[in-house]
Amino acid sequence: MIKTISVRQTAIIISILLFANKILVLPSLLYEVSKADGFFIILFLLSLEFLILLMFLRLKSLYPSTSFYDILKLKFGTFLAKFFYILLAIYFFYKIMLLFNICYMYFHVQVYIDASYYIFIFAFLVIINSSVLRGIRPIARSIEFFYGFILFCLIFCIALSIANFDKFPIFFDSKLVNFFDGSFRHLFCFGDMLILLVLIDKVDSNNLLKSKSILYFFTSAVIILSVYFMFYSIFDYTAFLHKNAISDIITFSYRFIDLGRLDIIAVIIIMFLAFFQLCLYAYAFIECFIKIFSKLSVVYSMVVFDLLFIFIVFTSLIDYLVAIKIGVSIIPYLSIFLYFLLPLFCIFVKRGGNDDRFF
Amino acid sequence: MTGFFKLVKKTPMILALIFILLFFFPTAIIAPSESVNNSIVTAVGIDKNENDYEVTLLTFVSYPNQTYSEKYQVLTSTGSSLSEALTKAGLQLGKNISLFHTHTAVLTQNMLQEDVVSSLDYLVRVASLPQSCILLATNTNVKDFMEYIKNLNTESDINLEELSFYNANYINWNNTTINAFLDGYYSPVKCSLMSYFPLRASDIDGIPIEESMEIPEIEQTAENGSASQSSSGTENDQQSGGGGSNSKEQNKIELVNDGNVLIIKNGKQGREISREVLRGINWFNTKTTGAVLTLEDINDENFENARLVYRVNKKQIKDFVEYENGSPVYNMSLKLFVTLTEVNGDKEDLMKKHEPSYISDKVQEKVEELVKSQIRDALDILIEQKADVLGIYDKFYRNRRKETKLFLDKIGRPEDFISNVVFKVSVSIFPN
Repeated sequence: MIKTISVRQTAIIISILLFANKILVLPSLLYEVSKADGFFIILFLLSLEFLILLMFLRLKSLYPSTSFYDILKLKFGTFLAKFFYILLAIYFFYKIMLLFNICYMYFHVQVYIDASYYIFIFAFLVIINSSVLRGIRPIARSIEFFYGFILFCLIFCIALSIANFDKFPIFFDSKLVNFFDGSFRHLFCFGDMLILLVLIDKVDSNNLLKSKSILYFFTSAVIILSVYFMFYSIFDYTAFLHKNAISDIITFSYRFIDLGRLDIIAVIIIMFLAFFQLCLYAYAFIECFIKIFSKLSVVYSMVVFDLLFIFIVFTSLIDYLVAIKIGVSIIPYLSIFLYFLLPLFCIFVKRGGNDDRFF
Repeated sequence: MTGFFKLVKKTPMILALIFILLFFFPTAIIAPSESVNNSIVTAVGIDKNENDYEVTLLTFVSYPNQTYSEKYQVLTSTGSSLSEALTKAGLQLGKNISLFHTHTAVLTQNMLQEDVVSSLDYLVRVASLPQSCILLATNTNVKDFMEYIKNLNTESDINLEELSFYNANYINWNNTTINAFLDGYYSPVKCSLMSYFPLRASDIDGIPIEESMEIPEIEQTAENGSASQSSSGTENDQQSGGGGSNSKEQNKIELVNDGNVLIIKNGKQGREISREVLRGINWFNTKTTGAVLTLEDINDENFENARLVYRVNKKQIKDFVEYENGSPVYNMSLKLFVTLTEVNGDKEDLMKKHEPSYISDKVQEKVEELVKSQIRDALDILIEQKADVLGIYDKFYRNRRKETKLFLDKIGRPEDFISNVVFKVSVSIFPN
């Protein structure tokens, strides 16, 4: 059975991951920090995300069939490798909680105000379990199957929002310190490319990997930037009030009221994106967990994940507000290490001639 | 059965599917329909009596019928806060109050005596009222207004949404949604416009309904409420004053949509702007077309003391801002593409000279004079009210930020900016 994912599937995963946590509440949060200059923050943070992608590609070219854990073990030894994987596991679990809470809040407001956490847990958790247990290849194939549809819907949303376009956002209206502060504090919504490091040995080695990954990355980046541009153009001074950017940019105009609930398009997009992103994050978490506790099987790791997830959600230890609070306070410090230093160390740190055994 | 288990073992996704079916199907089948638990509110009105909020809901009642007729119900509840009033409304109705499908929010002039943003904020953030919902004001008790709207809809199929859409698309300078209102409120100039739909006695233009409703405060409000009235209203008042009207007609009320809007400053009601003044504001807006120019006393080689009526089919606006000797100057070049639609005069042969593309020097001169006077009248009111609903400050800030900031340091507040701007307007007309 083939255990690797194709170059196209990898590129599509990159594209899908890039939307995580960026097109709902983040535009509004960035506006609160630096007004419409949030557009430049997202541009800057996407550039940093692109650096992570480049580092992944470099690592892939250096170690075509070695797992990230083995690379870390080679460079830093078993203890530090496990420690780094613990950090990654915590990070991925946080990302799952953040994504779940943001999506829950979104669906709660837009679709089903009476829906409890229980319904959402069952809706998401069953699919996540099934997908993770099946492995990365079925997940990648599912994403590949729906990718065209998701992309079409996103472009359709942006096209609809053009009808509401009136004037350009007021750029360069905040201080430089707000820009850097906003960039640092909102790092928690980025770093999605870290999943690729965990998947590095499962990606098919191919000459086209670099070009396709970059192409799909830029496709998503352009869509995200368009959403931000339209959002700040349409909402101007009230951007801070709109917590569901992709829905709000299409339902803003009174001209569309008679057409019914147009935001159903956005709801469908977010539903697909949330499922796929949660599956990918859960998969990455389980991969880390298995490496940390090498004697545990995938099924047991999944059970641990489920129990942890259900416990935290039911006890509201990490709800919507707490997830964002942790995100802006603790995660940025962890992010700097995980996003940049860890991959850089892996590329540049040499440990004698041991590398030879991986080629 | 063995085959099934083999299939499940081979594709565990089937298990997930079975689990979801088992969990969600029974609940979906057993659960009552959404309309049983949730009310469909199409319009919400808020009023305030001393310390109590009064919330009136126009709700759509779904019931099985073969005539495709729609049934609406008006429901009012009061409370010391909006959330209490809405909860009480839910109790009375036996349903959750759902504002997802609400198209129109109505505020009374009572409400507009205080900053309404906190109330709107509650409705938008907590009660999930869409921000694309049309926001309008009325002069009377909101319950009577909703009753009127319900009856109007039943009798004539005219509904509030259609009237609001028409105003927003063809009459108003700007759309008057909640978001547009909040955008103005949170902008540096802190002002916006709101559609105004008064209910008045039946001696003026409007949409009457057969059923007479006794709402004594309407007469009172019409007399005392607004600082300016539309010309149509005033003319009709004069006409009816001479003719006299019977008591039945006086009890009748009418919805008067003469395109008037209210200036809302810092969330409170400012002056009422008549449609005539709004015409002056609309010259700054490329979206509004269909304006009518009535030129009196045209004397040229073809006409003598004639009244020519032109329709503006298209307009082009080119504007730029600059600072001359430290003062802000707004330059606007207005190109109007017009058609001559009516000719009235003393001589019968005037009609023979009626050409849709007719434009003489005199016409050009008169049009320029008329448009400029309309703009001047509108600006006078906006300056008096310190209400920059045209976004003049915004335009300067976007295009000349450094100079505007310096200028603002001199004058203090962005609200005062519009009164310091020099407007240079040139108007030219072309046959369409």
